[in-house]
Amino acid sequence: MNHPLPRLILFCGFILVAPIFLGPGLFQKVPFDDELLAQVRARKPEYVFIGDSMLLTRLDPARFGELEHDAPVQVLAGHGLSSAGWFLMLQNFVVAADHQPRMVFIFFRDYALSWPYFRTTGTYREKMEPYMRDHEPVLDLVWSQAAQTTRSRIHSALERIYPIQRRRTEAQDVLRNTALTLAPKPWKRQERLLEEVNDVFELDNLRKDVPVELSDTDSPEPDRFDSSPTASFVPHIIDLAKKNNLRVCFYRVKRRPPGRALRRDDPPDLVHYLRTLEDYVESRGMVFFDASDDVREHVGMYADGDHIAEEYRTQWTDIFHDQVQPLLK
Amino acid sequence: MIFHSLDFLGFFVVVLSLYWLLRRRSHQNLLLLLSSYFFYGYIHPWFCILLATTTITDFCCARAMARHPAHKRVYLILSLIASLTILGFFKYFGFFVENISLLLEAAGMGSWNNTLAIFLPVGISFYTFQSISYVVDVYRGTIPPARKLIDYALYVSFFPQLVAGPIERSTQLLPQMQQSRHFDYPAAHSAIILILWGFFKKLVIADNVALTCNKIFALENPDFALLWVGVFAFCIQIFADFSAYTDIARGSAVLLGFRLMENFHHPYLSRSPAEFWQRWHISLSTWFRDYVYIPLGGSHCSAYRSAWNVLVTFFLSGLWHGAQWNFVLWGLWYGVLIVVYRLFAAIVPDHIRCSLWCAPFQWALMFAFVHIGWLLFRETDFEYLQFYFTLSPRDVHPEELAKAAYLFYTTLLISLPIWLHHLTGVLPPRCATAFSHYPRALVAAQLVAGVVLFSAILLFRSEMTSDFIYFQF
Repeated sequence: MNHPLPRLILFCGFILVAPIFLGPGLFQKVPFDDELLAQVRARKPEYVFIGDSMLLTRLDPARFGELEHDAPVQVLAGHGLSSAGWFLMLQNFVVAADHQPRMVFIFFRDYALSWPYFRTTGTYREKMEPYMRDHEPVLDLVWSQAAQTTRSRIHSALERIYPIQRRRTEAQDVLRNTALTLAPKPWKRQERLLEEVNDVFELDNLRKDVPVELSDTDSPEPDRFDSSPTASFVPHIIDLAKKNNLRVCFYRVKRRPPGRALRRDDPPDLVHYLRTLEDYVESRGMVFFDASDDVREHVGMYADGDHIAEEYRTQWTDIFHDQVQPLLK
Repeated sequence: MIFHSLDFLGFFVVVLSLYWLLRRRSHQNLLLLLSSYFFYGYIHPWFCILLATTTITDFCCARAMARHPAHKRVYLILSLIASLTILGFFKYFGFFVENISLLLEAAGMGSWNNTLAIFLPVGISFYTFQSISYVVDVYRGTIPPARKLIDYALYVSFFPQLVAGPIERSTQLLPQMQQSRHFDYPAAHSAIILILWGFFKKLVIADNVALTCNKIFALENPDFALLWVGVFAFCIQIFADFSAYTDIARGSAVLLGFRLMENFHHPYLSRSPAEFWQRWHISLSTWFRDYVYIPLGGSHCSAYRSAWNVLVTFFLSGLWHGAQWNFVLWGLWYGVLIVVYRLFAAIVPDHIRCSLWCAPFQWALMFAFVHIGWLLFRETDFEYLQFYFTLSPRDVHPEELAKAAYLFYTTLLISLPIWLHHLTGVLPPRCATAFSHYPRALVAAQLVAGVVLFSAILLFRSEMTSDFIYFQF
């Protein structure tokens, strides 16, 4: 029988293979950010802050420097940067800078330290690559573990095979900018229109029956901290800090309180998880700080979700400085 | 199992390969039947019990009709009772209890608390209607009863269209189950492009537009402009989502050697309510026409009776979509539109109504009516629905209009491929078949289309994807 299947496979094969050659080069890594490393070396910071948008939308580094008698401050953060990226920041920009800061703060939310695969593919991977060296054994060790499902392995492989996916952010930008160009702009500035649109969907404007927290992760929420070196980057961060005489403070940010409440009540599993994380961190000579009980951070300070509004950043930094001052002595 | 998952991709490749390796039709049917039950019970295996119950009951009733023609009406009623009881219990029990409770409360007789939480099995409305059409067709003598249970069970459970249609007719699909199939190589090319087009519509258009739509419908106090941009987004989302499922189903079926009916035919080009239903969810609208509207008397009766028949049909069609009053309202909205349009057609002469210059106005008016329909469909809370109809365009500030315009243009840009595709609906038929004389050029065009679609899915797909909307029905 002249079987039609091989011809069909050829047809499908062409469609599947052709997009591999679109976009950036196959498996090509974004170059390491030498400029950032040079900047850290030149600044010789006394305080280093590592994190994601929770840090970027909270801390006013100039204000913190002022409060610490003009001490140099370095922020190593990116929107959407996850725990893998935080480890890279510490290893490749703090330790590699050959300068010993007085304190390194790592800002995190709830379970973020126990999600080693979170935001490590697609555009997030691309954002992280400037902080990666060509060979990263710790990342390889953690990511290659059996905890990673077959499905996520397939997804990772697809991300590598089709580099065009790294252009997703740019593609979305093109769409957004075209829409901005077409729309009438009473304010004359495109950025202002975008900000105004975002303001429309602030939590206060939403229906009360609509779930406001849409989780963007499928990662499990454990009831205790797993300290094995393949379950998270925390043991590696601590090892690195100890070897280089660094003090690391794991700072849990306060999340937006619901409604008009002063604070958010943590579910029992999270409480237990945080307690085991704190025990682990402190038993290894590092610092753990949980800001979630501080009622000075009130709901009015928040912009969208757990982000602090720009006009409250100085005030927030003052509160933060007050919180951590005993640790800095 | 859902189409846009790696699980389905693996499942389909394995089934397709094994299927064409088998030579005998009976073996192929058995493989497809087992695969269909695996597909359906992948998440909740108990769903298969309901599917099997409906299948066996209707198969036996149809066989009994042939054996005892004098009592065939009894078997028809038995079959209908069984099918509609299962559907009614799983889909409408909660709705029924809730409304009885409200009535009791209104009459001051306490309330009836429903403590039974019933899980709606996915696709139950689709396969129940497909099975009912078979029993009625056998009763009418349109088709003979299926001789083999496997053939019939496959007709009811055929996995590409099991969960969200098209609702196939026994006269079309069942004979295909009973014949040998041959792999049609040119058709397979088109099928792969159709599947990719379906994935593109779901992952790129529907899921991206859903972000805007869901955000707007989550607002406590949207203004007039923002609300209707949200409805426009939903209009795109539901078409892209539902037609995507149909395209993937039809494409998958072709690869297995089957032909499924067309379910959508450029619905947003419609110029009248009746035309809309000839282009939208065709398998459902023709089902209601053949098994409800015509048996009620159709249009071969007095004008009043005919209008009543239309309203009853659309009431039931709305209810079919879901156990919520907004779906009933949505159905009745179209029923009323069709009745009013008939009056309009009786008054306005044909040469004016069907003239070319009139077409853009009719299209625009119908497009606006469709949007009102989608608002009724999307909003399940009647308090919000009432509030939406009090909004006025005069209250919209220019700055608010700019925000709505930005969201509108975003939605429009994302949905551009759908509008371009709709344009092919107004092209002369010879344009659509231009490539058929040049087979090699056709294959080349299909390859280019395939690469473009696949690349576009990789590049533009939404970060957040959701189930197909019609799964809930």
